[in-house]
Amino acid sequence: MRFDTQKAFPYPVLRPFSDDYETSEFQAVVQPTYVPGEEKVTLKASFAMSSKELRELIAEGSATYSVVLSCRDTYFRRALASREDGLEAEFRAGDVFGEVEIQSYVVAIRDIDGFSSNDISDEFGPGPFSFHRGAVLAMEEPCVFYFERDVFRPVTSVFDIVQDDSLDGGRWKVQLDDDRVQIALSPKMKSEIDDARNTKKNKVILINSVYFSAVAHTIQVLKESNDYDGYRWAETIRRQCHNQSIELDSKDAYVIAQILLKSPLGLLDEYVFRGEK
Amino acid sequence: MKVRLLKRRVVKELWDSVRSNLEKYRSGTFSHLANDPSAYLELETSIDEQALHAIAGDQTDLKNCLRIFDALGTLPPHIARDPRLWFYLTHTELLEYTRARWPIPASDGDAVRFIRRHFFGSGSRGVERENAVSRLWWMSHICNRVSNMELERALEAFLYKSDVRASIIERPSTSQTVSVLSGVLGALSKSLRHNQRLYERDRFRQAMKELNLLGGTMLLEVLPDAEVQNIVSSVMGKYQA
Repeated sequence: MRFDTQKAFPYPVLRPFSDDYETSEFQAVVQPTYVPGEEKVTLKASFAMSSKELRELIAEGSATYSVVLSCRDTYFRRALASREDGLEAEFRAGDVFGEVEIQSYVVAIRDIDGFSSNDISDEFGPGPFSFHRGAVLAMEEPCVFYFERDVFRPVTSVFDIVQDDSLDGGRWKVQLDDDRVQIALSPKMKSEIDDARNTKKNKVILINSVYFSAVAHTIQVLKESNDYDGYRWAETIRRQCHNQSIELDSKDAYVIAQILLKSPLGLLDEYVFRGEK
Repeated sequence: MKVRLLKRRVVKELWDSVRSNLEKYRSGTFSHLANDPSAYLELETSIDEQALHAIAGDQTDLKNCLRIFDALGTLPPHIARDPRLWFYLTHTELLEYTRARWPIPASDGDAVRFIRRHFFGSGSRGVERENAVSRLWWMSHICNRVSNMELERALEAFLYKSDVRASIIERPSTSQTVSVLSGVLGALSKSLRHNQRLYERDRFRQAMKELNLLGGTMLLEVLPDAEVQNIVSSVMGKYQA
């Protein structure tokens, strides 16, 4: 069922941008998380329903909260139901790819007669109302998440360290004209970094130096232009931001880089500063 | 044999060289792709080679759908979405099949467009409907989700008329919701064995329209499968009579 603000139901449905109900609201928060190594995705959803009458229908077992996940690219679709204010579920990561729409509802699971609420708009008449089993009673705006391996992996997974013979000493540069971001180093530095990155401590230092600067640079580039639309690294960074509700224009590049790299300074403290004490 | 994906660099070279490779597409081979490990990435998933090589241009789509699923039925859908897998097969293992099933036009200009559609295919439509091999897998994948019906029988009903098939694919609420899809293909299968009236363009469209209206206010997914299939069946039944 497509969410359409213009759609008219023959009965009152609690939903955003509609005055079928005068003041009541239904809100759902859903958060999918990729579990690395187990090739699965867990989904947590929580619901807030302010209509006392709809809450009562759920409590008595006449209606249920429901979350429908739908992936057009793989034909995967699953409906989850709960009478509690939250639910958790998991599914195989391989079942979804690309854009996944998640929509939350309250649905009648029995035929319901005699429903009334003072909050229902007068245009529906005085009621009471009857609903058939399966009727949608409330719906939330759909949210979209991107499920691609790169989107759930560390952002550095779309960055490669490469050698550039034209560079010397500690100079380095970022190259964006490929599907993956290339951090180009002099041959000597590339070799030293290849040797050094085998320890956690050195990895943390690299994340806080070249990787942090390179990630911040790519974010700044994405904030300023659409020149890299379609490049894998650009799509991955955009989708990682989307999944974490980060608007590229709403924060400085260095702040977004900290979020995507999961506060790397904290790792420096843990593995380097305190490690040396 | 393991599943292979052509590297992006190789895909780009092939795509850009369709015109200069026309003779190879018409009667040559791209055997260098299979013989050069630097041209592809190999995944852990295995292919049943015997089933793969049984796919043949002189066989029906139905038989070839069953064979591709025998060969690659365990493929996770997110990998099946990767066009590089299918580009590898249309250029190597299934080059002969692709040529036979989709004969290349004589005119070079038409041939380039045709090859880009059936040996490659781009975007969702390309993967699902145009690439000579991936279309077989995706039609099988859709039909394999149907409950209470053998894959062969579901495919038979699904493949019988292309406009009915397109009508199902274009409606995500039908093609994605297993209970609805099962009801629709169940009704089509019965119709196929009876008088095929449900396959008449206007009848099927009206039936789907009515089903859409019903799905506009009901969340069919929360009802038991058998109940949804009964609802679908009663709608379809009106148009079969």
